[in-house]
Amino acid sequence: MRAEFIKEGISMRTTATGEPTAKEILDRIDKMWRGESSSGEVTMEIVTAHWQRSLTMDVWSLGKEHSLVKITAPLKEKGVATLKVEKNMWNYLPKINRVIKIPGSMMMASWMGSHFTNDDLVKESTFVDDYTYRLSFSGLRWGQFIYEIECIPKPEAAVVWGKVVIIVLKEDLIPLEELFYDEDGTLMRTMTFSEVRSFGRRTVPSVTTLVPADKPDELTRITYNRLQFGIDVNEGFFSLRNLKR
Amino acid sequence: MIIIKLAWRNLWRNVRRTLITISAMSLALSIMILTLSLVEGMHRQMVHYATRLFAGDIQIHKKGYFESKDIYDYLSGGGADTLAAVRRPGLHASPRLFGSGLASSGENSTGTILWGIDPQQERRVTELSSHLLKGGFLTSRSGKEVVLGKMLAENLKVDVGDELVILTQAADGSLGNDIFSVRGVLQSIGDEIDRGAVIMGIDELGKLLVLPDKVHEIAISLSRPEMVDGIQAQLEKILEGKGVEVCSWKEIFPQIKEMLELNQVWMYIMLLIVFGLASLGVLNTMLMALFERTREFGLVMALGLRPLSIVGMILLETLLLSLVSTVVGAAVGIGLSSYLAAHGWNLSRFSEGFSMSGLTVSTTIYAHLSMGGVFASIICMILVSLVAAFYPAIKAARLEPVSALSTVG
Amino acid sequence: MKMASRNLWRNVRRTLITMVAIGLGLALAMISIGLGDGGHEQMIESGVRMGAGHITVQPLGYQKNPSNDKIITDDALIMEALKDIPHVREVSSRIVGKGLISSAANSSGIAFRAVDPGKARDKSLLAPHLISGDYLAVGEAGSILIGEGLAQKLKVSVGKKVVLMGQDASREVSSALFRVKGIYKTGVSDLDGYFCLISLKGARQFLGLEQGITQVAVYLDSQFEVEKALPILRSRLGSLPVEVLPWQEVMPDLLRFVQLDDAGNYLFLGIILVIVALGILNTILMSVLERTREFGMMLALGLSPHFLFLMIIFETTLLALLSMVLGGGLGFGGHHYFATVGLDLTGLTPERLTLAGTIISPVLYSHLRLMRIFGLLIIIFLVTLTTGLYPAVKASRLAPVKAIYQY
Repeated sequence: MRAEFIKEGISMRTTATGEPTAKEILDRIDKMWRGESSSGEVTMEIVTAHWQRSLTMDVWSLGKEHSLVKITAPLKEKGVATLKVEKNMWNYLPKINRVIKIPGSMMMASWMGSHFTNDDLVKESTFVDDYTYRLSFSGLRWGQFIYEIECIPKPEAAVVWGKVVIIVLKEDLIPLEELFYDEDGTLMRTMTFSEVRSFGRRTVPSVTTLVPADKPDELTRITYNRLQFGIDVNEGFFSLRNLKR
Repeated sequence: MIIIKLAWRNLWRNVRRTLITISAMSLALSIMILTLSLVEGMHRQMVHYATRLFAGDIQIHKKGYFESKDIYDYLSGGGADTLAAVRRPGLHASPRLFGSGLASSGENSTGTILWGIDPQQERRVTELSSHLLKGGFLTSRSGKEVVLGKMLAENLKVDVGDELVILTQAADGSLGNDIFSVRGVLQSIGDEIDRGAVIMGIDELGKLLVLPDKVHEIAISLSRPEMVDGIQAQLEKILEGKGVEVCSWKEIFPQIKEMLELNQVWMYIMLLIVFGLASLGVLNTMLMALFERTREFGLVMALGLRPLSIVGMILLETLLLSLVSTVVGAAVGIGLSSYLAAHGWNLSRFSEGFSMSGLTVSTTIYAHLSMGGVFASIICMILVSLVAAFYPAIKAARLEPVSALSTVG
Repeated sequence: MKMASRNLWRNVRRTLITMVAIGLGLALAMISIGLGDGGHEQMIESGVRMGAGHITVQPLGYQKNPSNDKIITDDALIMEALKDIPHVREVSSRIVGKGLISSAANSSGIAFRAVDPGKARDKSLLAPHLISGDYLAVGEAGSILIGEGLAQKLKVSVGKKVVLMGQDASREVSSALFRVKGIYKTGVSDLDGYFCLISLKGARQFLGLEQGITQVAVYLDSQFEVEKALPILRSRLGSLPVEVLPWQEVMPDLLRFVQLDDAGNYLFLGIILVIVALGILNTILMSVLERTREFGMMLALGLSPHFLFLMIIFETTLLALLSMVLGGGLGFGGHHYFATVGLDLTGLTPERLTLAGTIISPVLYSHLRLMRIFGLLIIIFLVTLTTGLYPAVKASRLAPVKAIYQY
C-alpha cells in the first residue's frame, strides 16, 4: 500500500552526528507507509481538463495487504466502496447492490477517475525491495536542507519507471517530493507532500498531490482530515460483507 | 431499303449457319453480361459488408474524434444541427454515442466498448438489428437493455435474459454504473463488435456517461452507395466551418478499400479474358461463315455487283446478325443476371463465410445488373463481329469472280 | 486418320483460330489454377505460422472454450510422444495468453505468445519483419518482441523496459519485467498493435510455472501431409488429456476463405470452359456444314457413314490434341514464370492485408499440382470430344443426293 492511504509520520530526528544512509532514510519512510493498522477520513480532489470534483471517504487499513475505502460524499457516489486484499480488488456499487471484481486487464485503469491507477493501490512491493538506491544529494535546496535519494529499479523488478527520486526534509525525514522518470530520464509524474500535521503521536504530511507531467494542469490531491493509528481491526474486517455495509 | 431486305433474305437462305452464328454470338454476349454483373455484384457486396453491417457509407464526427476517440469530442444537442444540415432524399442518418467500460457478470468481467444507438434510425442505416443470433434487438433510445457481441457473451458467460453490470468512468468523473438485462446476442459480424461491443439505447448511454443529448458519430447510409465520393464532398461543403469531419467507409476501412481495389483489378483481368475469349469465338464463327460463302460472293460478283456493294452487304448482314444476337443474348444474359441478382448464387456448399480484415463475409453472391455493363458488352460484341466481318468482306470484294467460283466451299 | 489431318490443314486459318481459342483457354485456366492454388498455399503457410502449426496439440476442450488456466502440465510426455514421427519437421511448445503491457507512459491490452527462440518456423513469422533490434535469443528470459504500433503507444524503443501483467494458472494477477529486444512491423494492425512474443523461459517466470505449456504447434514437411500425419499423432497422444486438431479446425475462417475462393475460381474456369466448348462446337459444326457437299459426294462414292463419323471424330480429337499442346505449352510457360518470378502485387497493395487471420503476401507464386493439370486436360479433352459428336452424327446421317444438291 502506498503513501496515499496511510501516512504514518515518524517523528524522529537524526540522533547521531553523522548523516543517515539512504537505506536508513528509505526504511524510515517505509515504516511510515507500513502502519500496522489505521483508519481515517480522506478528501480526494481531482482536477482534469474536463471536470473537477471532490470525494470524501472513510479508509481503513491493516498492514500492506488489506484496505477498505468507502465514499461518503458526494451523494451520488455515497456508499461506493473498494476492498483490497492482497492482489485482488473489488468494487461495491450501492446503486445496483453489486460487487465487481476488478479484472487484471483493468489494473492500469484509473481508480475513481483519479490519476492513480488500480495498480498503484494494489502494489505491495516497497522501494527497498525493488530498487537500488543512493543518497544523491544532501544540502540546501529551495531554502530547506534536504536529502535527495535516487532509486534505480533492480534489473528484474517489475517496475516501469527508469528512476524515482525521493526528496526528504533533513530535519525530520518527512518526504517532500517523489519524482518518477522513465528510462530516458523524462519526468512522468510528480508526487508532492505537504501540510505536515500531527495525528495522535505521529506527524505526517497530510496532503499528497499527484501531477502527471504530460498534463501539468491536471492533478489529484489527497488530504487526510482524520487519521488514527493502531486501531482495533483484524483481517476479518476486510471482507466482502463489510464492503457492502 | 432493298439492300437491307436482300441482306435479311441472304441470312435466312442458310438457316442452320445463321442459327449457329447467332447462337454463338448471343451466348458470348450473355456470358459477358453475366460475368460483368457477377463481378459488379461481388464488388457491391464487399462494399455492402464494409458499410451496412455497422459502419455506414459515411460518418460524421466532431473534428478529432475519429483519431482520438476522446469522449469529450462530441456534438451537442443530439447532433440535431448536423442531422438537419445533411437531411436529403436517399440518405439516412443515425446518431451514436460511444464509451468504454467494464462489463461484469458474476465472476467474469471484461473491458468493453459501449455503443449508444437510436434503434429506429439505426435500422434504416445499418443491418445491425437483422444479424441477431438469439433474443431480440433494442426497441427504444432508453431502457436498461443491451445487445452483445457473440464472443463477448461467451466470455462473460451470459445469455439472453441474464443481467449484466456495466461500470464506466462518466464524463463528469463520477463512476457510472447500472444493471442491464441482455436482450439479444449478435451474430459474428466483425471482430470489433464480436469481441467487445455492448449496445444500448443512446439516451441510456448518455445517462450512464453523463453525456445527455451528446453524439459522437453520425452514421449515414446512402440509397445509392456508388455516389459516396460525391456526397461526401457535398456534405463537407455544407458542414464546412462547423468543426466536424466527414469521412467515408474508404477512410474508415482503408484495408477493405485496398482489398477491393486489388480485387477489382483481378476481376477486370478475368473480365478481359472472358471478353477476349468470347470475342475470339465470335470472330472465328464470323470468319468461317463468310469464307464458306466465297463461292456465292464470286457468283454475285460475276452477276455484276460492285466490290464496294459486296463489302456493304456483308457488313450489313453482320450488323443484322449481331442485332438479332444482341436481342437474344441480352435477353438471356439479363435474365440470368436478374435471377442471380434476386436469388443470389449460394456458395455455402463450398464454404461457410469467413472474416476479411475484421469483417465477416457471407457466401451468397448476388449479381448486380447495370445498364452500362450491358451496353458495354453489346457494343463490344457488335464491334468484334464487324471487325471480324471486315476482313473476309474485303477479301470477297477483291475476288476474281472466276477463281472464286471454282473454289470449293 | 490421315484424311482427318489433311482436312484440318486444308483450312489452316480456321484450324489455327480454333487452336488459339482452345489453347488460350487452357493456358489461362492453367495459369489461374496455378496462381489460385499457389496463393492459397502461401496463405495457409502464413496462417499456420501465425496460428498454431499444421497440426495443433492443446488441452482438451481448449478449442471450444479457451482460457488461461487450461494447461498441459506433462509437456515432457508429449514431446516424447511426438519424437520421430514421419512428415513432422518441427514441434514447437508454446504458452499463449492475454495480458496487459505497460510502460512508464502508457498501458495496453495484448496477446502474448511464448516460444522456444531456437525454433526456425516460429522465428520465420516475425524475424523477417523486424525494423529494429533482434529476434529472441536462446536462453534469454526477459526479452520481448513487440509491434511498431504498440511501441508507439507505449513510447518505448529497443532496450527499454515494459511490464507484462496477466493472470496466472491460479487466476492470480502476476507481473514481470521484460525488455524490448526487437520491434517488428508486419503492416497488419492486429499484429503490430496487439501481439507480443516472449520466450518460454520468460513466460514461465512471468506466470510462475515450473513446467507446462498451453499448446504444441506441429509443423509438417508440407500442408499436404496433414491427413497422413494426423492419425499417427492422434494414436500416439490418445491416452493424454489433449486434443489434436488440424489447422482446418483451428482456423475455420481460413479454410472457409480458401474454399470460397476456390469456388470463385471454379466459376471462372467454368466460364472459360463454356467459351472454349462453344468455340469448338462452332468450328466443327461449320466445317462439317461447309463440307456437306463434299461429304455427300463421299457417301455417294460408297464411303460408309461409319467411316465418315470416325473421320470427323478424329478430326476433332486431333484438333483438341494440337490445341492442348499449344495451350499446355503456353500455360506451363506462364506458370513457370509466375512460379519463379511471382506475380508482384506490391504496387496495388501499399499496406499488408489480413484475410481470415493470415497475412497476404504481396507476391503470389504459382503452384501447379500434376493432378490439377491432368484433371483440366481431361475435362478440356472430353468437352472437345463431346462437342464433336453432334456434327459427326449429323454428317454421317446425310442423305447423299440431297447433300450434293444443297449447293
